[in-house]
Amino acid sequence: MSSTEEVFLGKRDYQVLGQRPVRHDGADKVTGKAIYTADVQLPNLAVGKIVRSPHAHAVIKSIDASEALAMPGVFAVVTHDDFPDLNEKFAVMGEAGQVNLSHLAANCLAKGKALYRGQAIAAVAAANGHLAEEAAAKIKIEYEVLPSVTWVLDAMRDDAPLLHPDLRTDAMGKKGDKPTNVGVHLQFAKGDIVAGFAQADVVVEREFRLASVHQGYIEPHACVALWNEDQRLKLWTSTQGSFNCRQQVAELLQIPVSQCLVVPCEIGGGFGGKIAVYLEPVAALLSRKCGRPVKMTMQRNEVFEGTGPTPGAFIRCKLGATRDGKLVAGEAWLAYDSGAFPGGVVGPGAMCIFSCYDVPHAKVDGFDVCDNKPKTQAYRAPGSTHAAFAVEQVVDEIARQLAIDPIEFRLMNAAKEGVRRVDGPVYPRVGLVECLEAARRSDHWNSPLEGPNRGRGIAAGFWFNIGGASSCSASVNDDGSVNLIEGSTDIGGTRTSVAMQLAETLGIGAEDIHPQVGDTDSVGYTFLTGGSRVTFATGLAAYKLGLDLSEQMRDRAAKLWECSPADVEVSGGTYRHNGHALHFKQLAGKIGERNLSPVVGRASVAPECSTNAFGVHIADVEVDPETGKVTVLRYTAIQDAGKAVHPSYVEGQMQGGAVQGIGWALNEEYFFDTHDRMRNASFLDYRMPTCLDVPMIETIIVEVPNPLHPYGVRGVGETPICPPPAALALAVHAATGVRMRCLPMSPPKLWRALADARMASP
Amino acid sequence: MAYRLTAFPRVVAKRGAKDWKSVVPGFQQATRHEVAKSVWRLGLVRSRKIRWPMPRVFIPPLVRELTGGVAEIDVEGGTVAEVLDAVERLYPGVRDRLCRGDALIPGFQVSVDDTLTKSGLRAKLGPRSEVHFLPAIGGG
Repeated sequence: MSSTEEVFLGKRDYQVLGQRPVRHDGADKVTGKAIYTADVQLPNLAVGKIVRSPHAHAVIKSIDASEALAMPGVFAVVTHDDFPDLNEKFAVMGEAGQVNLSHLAANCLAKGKALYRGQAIAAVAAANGHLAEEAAAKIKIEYEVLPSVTWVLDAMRDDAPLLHPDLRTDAMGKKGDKPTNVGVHLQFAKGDIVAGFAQADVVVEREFRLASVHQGYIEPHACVALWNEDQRLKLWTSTQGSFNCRQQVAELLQIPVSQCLVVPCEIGGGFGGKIAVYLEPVAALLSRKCGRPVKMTMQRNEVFEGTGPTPGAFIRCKLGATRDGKLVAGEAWLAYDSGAFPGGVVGPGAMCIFSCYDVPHAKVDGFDVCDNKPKTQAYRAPGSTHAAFAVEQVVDEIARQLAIDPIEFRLMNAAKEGVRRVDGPVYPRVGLVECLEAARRSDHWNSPLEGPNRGRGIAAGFWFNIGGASSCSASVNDDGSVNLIEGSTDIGGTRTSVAMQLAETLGIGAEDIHPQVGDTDSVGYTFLTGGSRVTFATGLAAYKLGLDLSEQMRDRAAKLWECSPADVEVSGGTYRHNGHALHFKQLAGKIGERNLSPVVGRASVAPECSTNAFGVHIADVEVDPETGKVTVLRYTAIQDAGKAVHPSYVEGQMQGGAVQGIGWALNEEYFFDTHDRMRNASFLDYRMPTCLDVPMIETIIVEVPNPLHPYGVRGVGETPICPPPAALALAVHAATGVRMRCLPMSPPKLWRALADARMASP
Repeated sequence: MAYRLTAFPRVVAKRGAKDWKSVVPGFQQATRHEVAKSVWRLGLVRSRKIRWPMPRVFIPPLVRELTGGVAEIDVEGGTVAEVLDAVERLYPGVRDRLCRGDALIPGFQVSVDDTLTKSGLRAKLGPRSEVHFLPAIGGG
């Protein structure tokens, strides 16, 4: 018995959905009037500055802030000692389950040891930013430098420097007996892989290595905290989840959530990197100490060195197939680093590695490993891109060995309804086959690619997409417009996609809805913006809100016409009874005129489900054999969106994810020196793609309705980042004959691989 | 002791074991009536090739050292907590590996059929539900 219901209404023609209205926040954003956290100004505002560790691993022997505190205009200094005692304290936080508060606090202000270069050690508040920087420089911190490690396999060695001497490997509740950096070992298995591989005519096993990359959001972390005399804490911040931020801050400061108000400002990107708190509790502690509001903003180098990248990883992947092209067995071994504290994303990575295929016999081992990097955080489909980079290359190799077209091979083995994943659950209706067929029909796939050093690659990707709690409320204005307040912070245009679902339900235009994101005091609990959940889950809440409003409007119409509400017919936003007919907007006007009760509605939902999004990408590249530079000539992203509520936004998500995946594939990496210090912590040196580096990303939206949403909506935001590194690696192979199994495929690395290949060839 | 009766057919049928007494710890203590009922059910499962309608618990591979390698166990129960208790009675120690107090171990969640649920041990089950213990999934 599933706890979710199939609620798809079966509609194909919509009045609002599928249209491309102007986004509600568009004018503010293009005219610079949208309020971001750094724009917030308050009376007597102090400015906070963080002092960060210059070492990747060091004992903090002492912190002396006396000289800084003696400076005129310096108000307060805080360190980890200003947190309440959080030892052995855990908090249940949404999908992360139980979170170790001691680790969370130490990631905001180090406790005893610095575990990565850039970790916050202390913070100072002063009258202005210059003074704060000067004071920060005067805080004397004495370190004892320790050996460090930043590559996941090195961190797993028995002789590796230990980050947490008390850490023991947890293997599904069974603790290891020796100190280690390996926090978790998990395993999935189905069937009998020995028997499975025995059936295989072709077996391919390869190893893959991936460097850490950053989410690269354009807006650095920022926060304003005001600890009031009544002990109420108010935070303005850039966050993917105002309620999650509130809970983390309240738990860290050991105050009731009701004592904390979080105002989510406009957000300049997050991609998973703005879920965990960094500045918020520190700014709160400073504000409490100095009795003023405190603003903190990170510089770009602080974002790189002090906030979560995605894991570096090592993956060994093995697949076996019969000569007629049927996958029969798979085995994978994944080690993902989690950075300075345990609890990374190897779990979803291990769940995803065979998720695109029907592999009857499979086994996957995953290891979560601490090393001296910032605590890793989610990044669009966390863990899945790594897995797709590995498995898609092995799939391609097998297809080539069997001389089967890569799309045909994938179709022969594609995950579909009824297929059991290696981690256990069985797929409901999913859209991978439709995406592969759309790829096969596409103009891109059917266009010849000619010329030397050019090649084409194709790869698939998967992300679960999640549900979770969402709330919204609305009131109907006399002019027939609707004020909508929803709790999901808007990163990718979700205000509009949610408003469109409300408009569709009410039978009015998207422009008649005035959506705004509420703070934690003005809207019901809403889980974070992440997991590709908002257009699905908050959209579901908007649909239910629409039903609530519509029912109230029917009641008001009945009062107007002095009949029973049951006698009022509603269709397409028009209310009818006995020859009377009023459209929603006309009826709204009558409610004011006749002094009827105002119409105010609310809805909340908490769907528990995965909406299972698959994507397929095609990439054409040209490789310069002299420099190793890869130029992307043409790129097409195909994805099952369930129902594309606002096709431009769906296309935008697919394009954005593809470009981030291209950057991950070709250039981006945390580059560490011999002291494990990141040496490219700026956008000048950390090479993200710009519009000059990529062609127009073509998109094909496939619509296989999600049975768990009335309009068939699935999430779309994360899957598009999964296939690009694999698709580009396969395109590079097609162009050069060289298999690139390390990311990034940056010019020096590819040049070296090409040179090695030339040397090796007779 | 319904757990013995209901759990027995699935375990034996899956493993094809002849020494069924060694497959289910504690079965030797079952009454004659319980044994007879179990065997009847086993016969039903085999002859009609139907699954006895009970929730099926998928044991994580790293915990199968406690179940003698058994990967799937059919036990009665209306919630995850109840089926885990039933599994625990068959294979002592399994619950401790999967739970900390009244909650799942940190970082894990339950999937009932294809639904990742936040209800944890309180999640409701139907007679043919599948229960999986999986890493928690978030997103970016």
